[in-house]
Amino acid sequence: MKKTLMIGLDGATFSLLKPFMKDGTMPFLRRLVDEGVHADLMSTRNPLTPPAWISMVTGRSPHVHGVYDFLRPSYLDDGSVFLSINDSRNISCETIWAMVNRHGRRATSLNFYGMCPAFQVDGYLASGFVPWKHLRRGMYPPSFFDMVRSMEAFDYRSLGMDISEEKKCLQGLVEDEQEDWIRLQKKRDTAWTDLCCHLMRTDRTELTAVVLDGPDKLQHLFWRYVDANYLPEEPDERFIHIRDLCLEFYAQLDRNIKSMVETAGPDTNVILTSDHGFGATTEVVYINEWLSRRGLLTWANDAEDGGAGNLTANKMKDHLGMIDWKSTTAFCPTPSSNAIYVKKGNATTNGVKDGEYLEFCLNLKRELLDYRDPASGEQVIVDVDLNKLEGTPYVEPSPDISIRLRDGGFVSILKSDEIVVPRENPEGTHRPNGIFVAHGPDVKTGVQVEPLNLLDITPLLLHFLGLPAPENLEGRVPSEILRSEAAYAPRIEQPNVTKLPVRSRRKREDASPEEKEALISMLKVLKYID
Amino acid sequence: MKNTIASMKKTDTRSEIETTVISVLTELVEDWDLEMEEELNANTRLIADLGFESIDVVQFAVSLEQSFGKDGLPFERLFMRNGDYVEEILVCDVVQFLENNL
Repeated sequence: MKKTLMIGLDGATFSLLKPFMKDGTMPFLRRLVDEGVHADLMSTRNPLTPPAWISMVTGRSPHVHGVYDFLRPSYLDDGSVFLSINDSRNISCETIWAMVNRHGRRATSLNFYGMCPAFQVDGYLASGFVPWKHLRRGMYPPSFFDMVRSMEAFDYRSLGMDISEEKKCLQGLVEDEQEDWIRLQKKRDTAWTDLCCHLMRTDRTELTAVVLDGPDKLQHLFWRYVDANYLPEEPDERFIHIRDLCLEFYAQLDRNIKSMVETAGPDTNVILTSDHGFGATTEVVYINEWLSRRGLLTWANDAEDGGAGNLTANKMKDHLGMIDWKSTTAFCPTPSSNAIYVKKGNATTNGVKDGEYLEFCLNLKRELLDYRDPASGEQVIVDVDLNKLEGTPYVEPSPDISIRLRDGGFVSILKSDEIVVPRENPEGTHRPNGIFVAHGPDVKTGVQVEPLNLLDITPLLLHFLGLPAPENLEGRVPSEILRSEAAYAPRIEQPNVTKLPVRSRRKREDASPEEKEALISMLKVLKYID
Repeated sequence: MKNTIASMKKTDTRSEIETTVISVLTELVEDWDLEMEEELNANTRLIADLGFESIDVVQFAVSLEQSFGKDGLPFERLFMRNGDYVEEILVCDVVQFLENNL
């Protein structure tokens, strides 16, 4: 039986990879593209890791699976807002791992966002975004952790995520941290590669899937060192040194891909995907400040301002304490959300009453789109979606309004003297178009097709495994990439709906507001992200 | 007699809670390579003795909720005093909190 390998490259973009393929930095990827199929892969409405990876492995949109961001806002009775961390229990849909298991096939899932606490799979599961101290809780079966811990090829702690390091993606690095940061990403990606290869050699499952998140981490902080559009005419020694380190990162990435594909063997259908693309952000837009000036948000007296182009506060207790919640009607909770949440009003707290919601949102949308940069007179917010007014069911906590900035960047939630502030240097940010590469016995050769959607990945993986797809998946099998395109006929699973996840180890009911309050209170107490 | 029986039951419950808390905590830190002079006990300090950071507290609370099968425990009452954050938490503090809130 043919096997399938999926390699996720977080944040990978052809705008970087194609030049690297051309200049010899990534020769193996070039070979995969030349011998296979490639296309842009369009991300979720907000091209962001949590909604995008979960959409990719469930085949459902964020408004169905319910994960829109790293954090989710909740409301207390007194009108205050707190943020809790999304985890596997918040995913309202069945994953590809469970779909595969239902048909008697085994699956290996490595380093995907949102898979912790770990749940039962027939195969192996190791969640991404888990600090090394808690990797045991992020792995299934329980013996998997002990096996990983005993491996000599790498220090198992390399598989973990250091939260204090992760925050630097948004806040930046000081100069003497740069080399270590790049080396850390190489080390982590190589550790996941080694684990993936080890499992393929020792206990191969029909589906093996792994994410390498180094590209995203590196590109956020070093975009201007790798994007040809931003290279200085006369780079200094320091710039050349950092750029060389970045290029070596991509060369190692290519070796990692080669290692996994060769270990998988020629009878394996391989796909490479990314959750979103990347590009430059050249300014900071202070969206909560914009709301404040319209009387919709009230700053607390000690609100931190956005000095040095920061998008968010260093500490969560400051983050949550910036806003006078009782006097606030609309707010953006996190930079990564690129969203505005509208509070519902009641007798004691500010907010919008149900009967006024439509008019409120329509007016706010118009104001957002009408807003002009005082310096240039140009439009700043180029797209606004009223998510709860589209006639589509949604899982809470759906943002009321999603916005897209003219430079594709993330907003800042801090207080500021100005709404729009140019960045001193361009930084990396997300773009909607990620990458798709396919190679293998069932895939055409040397073809580029029109952009696909990441919702197509679950149906495609099921097809490669010879399995039917639940009818309620939102994507399709992109038959145009298949050698047997002419003979392709969709296979629909009956009954025709995906099944909600069953957590075998720890049964959990729907989360209560109190649970989330407890979790985020702890984040406040211990200064979320020390 | 009634009070004695009630207090005995309360003691049993507290003892059971403490056993579970220590068991959860032991499992949580077993991979941390801690050099502890003595086994985890009621007087173990989460921050000074075990080096707890923010995410560790989150994970510990989630594990406790899952072990006791109870959602929505008001952990902020454990971690805050008079509007400010506590500097340290002992295992016995956690036990007392759970005894009051389960």
